[in-house]
Amino acid sequence: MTGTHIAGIGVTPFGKHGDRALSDLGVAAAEKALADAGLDYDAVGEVFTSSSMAPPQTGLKVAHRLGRTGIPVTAIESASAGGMVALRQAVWAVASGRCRIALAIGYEKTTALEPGGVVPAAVDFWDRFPPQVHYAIEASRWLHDAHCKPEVIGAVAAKSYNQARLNPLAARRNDDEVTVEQVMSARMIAEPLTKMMCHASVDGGAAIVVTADHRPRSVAVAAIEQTSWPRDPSWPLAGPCVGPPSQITLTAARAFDAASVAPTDVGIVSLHDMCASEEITALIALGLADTVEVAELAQSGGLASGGRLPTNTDGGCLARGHAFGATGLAQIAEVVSQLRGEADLRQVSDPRIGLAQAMGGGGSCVVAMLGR
Amino acid sequence: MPADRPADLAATVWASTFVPSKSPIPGYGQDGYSVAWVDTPDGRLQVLVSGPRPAPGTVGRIVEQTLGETKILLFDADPA
Repeated sequence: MTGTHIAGIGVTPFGKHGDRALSDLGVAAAEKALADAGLDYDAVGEVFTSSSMAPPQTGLKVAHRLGRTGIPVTAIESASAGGMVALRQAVWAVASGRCRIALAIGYEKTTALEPGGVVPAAVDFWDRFPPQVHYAIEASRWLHDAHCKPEVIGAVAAKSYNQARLNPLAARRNDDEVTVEQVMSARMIAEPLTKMMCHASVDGGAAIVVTADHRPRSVAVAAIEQTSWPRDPSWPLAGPCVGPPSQITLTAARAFDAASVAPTDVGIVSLHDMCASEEITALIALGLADTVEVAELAQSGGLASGGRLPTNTDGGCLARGHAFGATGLAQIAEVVSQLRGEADLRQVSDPRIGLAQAMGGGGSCVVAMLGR
Repeated sequence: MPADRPADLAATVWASTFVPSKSPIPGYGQDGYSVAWVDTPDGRLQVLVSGPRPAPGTVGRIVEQTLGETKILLFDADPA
């Protein structure tokens, strides 16, 4: 147990914000999180910011716009895992006694790059190929081993789109229910993954307030663990890809141990779904379902709000959208909303333990356990 | 993958994908191409594929091919 709490959450709408400055997204999310916690920025002792593509010094710009209070501000880059890496730093700033209140802020603009923003260069041979190739190969093997058809992945994707219809902050909100047939008939990106099985890169901001004291509506941070790529000969290092499933398993095992909870205790899950197939392979790697169970859950509605293992109830990277440096904090905000019982139409029935998992390109994995 | 490993390795396909769009490598896969993870004596590698998308378990070799000024390694399935 970390002895810390999440007292405030703030998320901007995910989508296109081409006309807004990147720092606006961070400031807006932070102000929402502070208001949710009932705290002023003057009370914050440390700030940790996350972005993958921001121009240098954006983190300080965001913090200075919130208030020039002289506190430490640390900017973090860890691709899709960056938001939860920032949260881990905030948790440990409070848990170590350095401060009583810390703020993690993530922000990203992917649809219209901020002037001076950073785009990773294609340096290595495989950097020139679509990142979905890696997920498609992994998905193909899973389908082969599980004796399943690609429609199982289509069912996961359809679930995520339909969950996003219940999330007013999601980027991809369809007027009508999305069917597996629609997902399967979308343009093929890399077999078996169609375009509708792949994430939407969007703009957005998210922020989390971490406190030493329990406050009204706060949620306990039971554990937050982070790893880099472990040795695993089954996973080729090729191009813009993430670490192996064994890394997720390692990170989750440490988090379950630190939180003293079991996989069967988890009532709400938010995980990194660069592609819908990653939701399947991550659930297995986290120890929350086996190959047979996850296929059954996907096809029976078991991963939706009313299902046995509600997963990515805000629509996930597929449909809430993926604003790289902000995504991990938006995931945490969804789990906190669910544990508070404040998730409105997508509310899960009485979850007590929530798990959030982030995986970043290059190889950072973070697993957080939150509890009421 | 570029030719930074020895060619003519025996290889068995673990899994593969077909990408139905133009390859970024001039002279290769301009109408679509396949990528595979293959098990070799050097470990599991990600390689481009010569020919149709291979199923898991397909046996073949890693061969070197020069495309313009670029040398690349390809998985080439053994004849059925």
